[in-house]
Amino acid sequence: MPERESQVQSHGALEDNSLTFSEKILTLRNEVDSGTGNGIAYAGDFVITKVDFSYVHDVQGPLVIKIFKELGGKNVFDPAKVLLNIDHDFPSSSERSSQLHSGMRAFASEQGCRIQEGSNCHQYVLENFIRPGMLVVAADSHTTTLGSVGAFATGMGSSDVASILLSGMTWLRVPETIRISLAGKFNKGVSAKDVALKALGILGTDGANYCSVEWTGPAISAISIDGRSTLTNLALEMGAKNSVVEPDNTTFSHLDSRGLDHGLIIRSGKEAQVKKEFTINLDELLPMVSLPGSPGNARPVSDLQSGIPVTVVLIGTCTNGRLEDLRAVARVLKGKKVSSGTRLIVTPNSREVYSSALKEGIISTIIDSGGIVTAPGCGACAGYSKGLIGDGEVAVFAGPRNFPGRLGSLKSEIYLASPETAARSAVAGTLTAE
Amino acid sequence: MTKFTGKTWLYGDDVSTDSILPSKWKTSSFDPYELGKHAMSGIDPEFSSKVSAGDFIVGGLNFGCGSSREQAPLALTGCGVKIIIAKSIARIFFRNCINIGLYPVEVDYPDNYFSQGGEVEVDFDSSTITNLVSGEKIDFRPIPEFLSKLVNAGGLKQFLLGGGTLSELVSAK
Ligand code: SF4
Repeated sequence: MPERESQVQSHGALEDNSLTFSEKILTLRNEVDSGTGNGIAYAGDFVITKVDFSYVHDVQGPLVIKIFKELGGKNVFDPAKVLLNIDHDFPSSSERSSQLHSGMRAFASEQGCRIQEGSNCHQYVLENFIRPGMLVVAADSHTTTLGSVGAFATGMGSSDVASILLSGMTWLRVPETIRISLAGKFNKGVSAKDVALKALGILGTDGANYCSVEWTGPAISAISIDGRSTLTNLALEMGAKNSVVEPDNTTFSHLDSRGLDHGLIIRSGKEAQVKKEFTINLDELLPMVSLPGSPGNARPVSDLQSGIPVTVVLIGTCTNGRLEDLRAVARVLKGKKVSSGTRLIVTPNSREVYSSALKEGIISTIIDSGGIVTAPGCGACAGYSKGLIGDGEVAVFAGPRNFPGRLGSLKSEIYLASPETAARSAVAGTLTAE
Repeated sequence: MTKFTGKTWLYGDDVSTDSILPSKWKTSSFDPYELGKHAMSGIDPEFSSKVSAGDFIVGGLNFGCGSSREQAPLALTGCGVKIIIAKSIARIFFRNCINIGLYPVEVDYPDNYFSQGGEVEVDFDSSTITNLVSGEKIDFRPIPEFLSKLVNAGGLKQFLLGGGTLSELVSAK
């Protein structure tokens, strides 16, 4: 890559103010002649690129391994760049899962690649491996999350990832860009999740289909890596291919505290052609909720009739199971009780988050309030045991999506909200942000 | 063979992979036929008993949104579905379809153009769909040539096993 980098730098892609983040990184990483004559990969062009890191979890992983073998795969392209991650059903809830997990462990040991069990894959790699300018492809839709530290990260299915494990390469279409600028200051009780739901309400669930979503603007510096990861995670629900926040001092302290180098900083050109651009003014933003059926059904909680009874509150997932989320939950629950008709289930999204929450007293606050904390990972979001909901239930979910049946029964209703709104609803027993 | 005729099964906007193959079935098997028994069961529990091989699914906007599970389109192929027609298809689902040899057709069709169970013909040479009941024809956007190459090969695995390479794909775009 250094050779390639200097080549591209020589014709100035990194400094070119007319190129987006995605155009720059895919120009830099393009292994074939893009056909434009000047070597630049513009939105709409196709490129072939090397992948810096790839991972699979226990839903797609076993199918990836099967296809890898059917393709005649003997060795993965680089064991140091591959992670097998067990998080969707861990600890296993069935014999079937246990068998699939065993297959993953066997593959990891035969290939000499990493295996991790317990933490959600996206959070685990953010905590340990991901640096600005990396190109990451994993077998999960929410891989977009990793753009929170300036990586180009996208999800694909099993066949694509199997071929990546084999060759270390993939093809990509350079995405158009949607730029969402954040201005103003957060009101009390409003967080990154509300920003993302607001954007989902504006764009809908396909408004960013095939696009790159850049989060920018003066207010972004006030949002932590945890909050940024919620934004880049939920860009997927708008259809995005990838989503990114430009690295800044917040990113650098995150990387420094984890002993990760600063990677390659790629700044999106301010004059670049974008498909759409809009601003969300945080001064005017209220706690948001997405009505059952689709994450795009977003509106302020205050628009709903009050008193919608809630039978279960779930907080966690790769969207909202980070330390900042759990801190917000504990602040609401401190000295309060979960309403008697409601159960509260919290799933930290990694072992590290779990351990920090334990040290900070967050876990005992949740338990003392009458809630329960599950093992870290995906929790009920993955659709297995531990927290699935039944017919007629109404859930408030601090998670990624509320398509019918996402958390179990098709005859249930799921409202998406922030961790704070979810915790307030658990205490009230009704959907509320107060 | 670039013309396909079949019956259409109509669904609306935002049909997610949770509806196409509910979570509880997603790791139940790798066999498309076994997965097919649960295809569309999150939205239409009777689907697998009603559908016949060669039928088409017609979705609205954003068909296949949600999770990246390749098991979802596999379940549809397990029922013999050959073509997905929709106003738009979610990105990963689109890629997954191509990769397993299931044809994605994105077309902005007029309301009431399709009817439940009606016969249509999809012609990939002329990029048109003909409603065989009303005789009405509409054009669709063809997919890039290199993707046709993949899907015609029966998917990514078959393409690679047949000696195809990624660079040949992209340079042939
Ligand atoms: S937490 Fe939910 S959305 Fe995120 S990776 Fe796990 S199952 Fe998928």
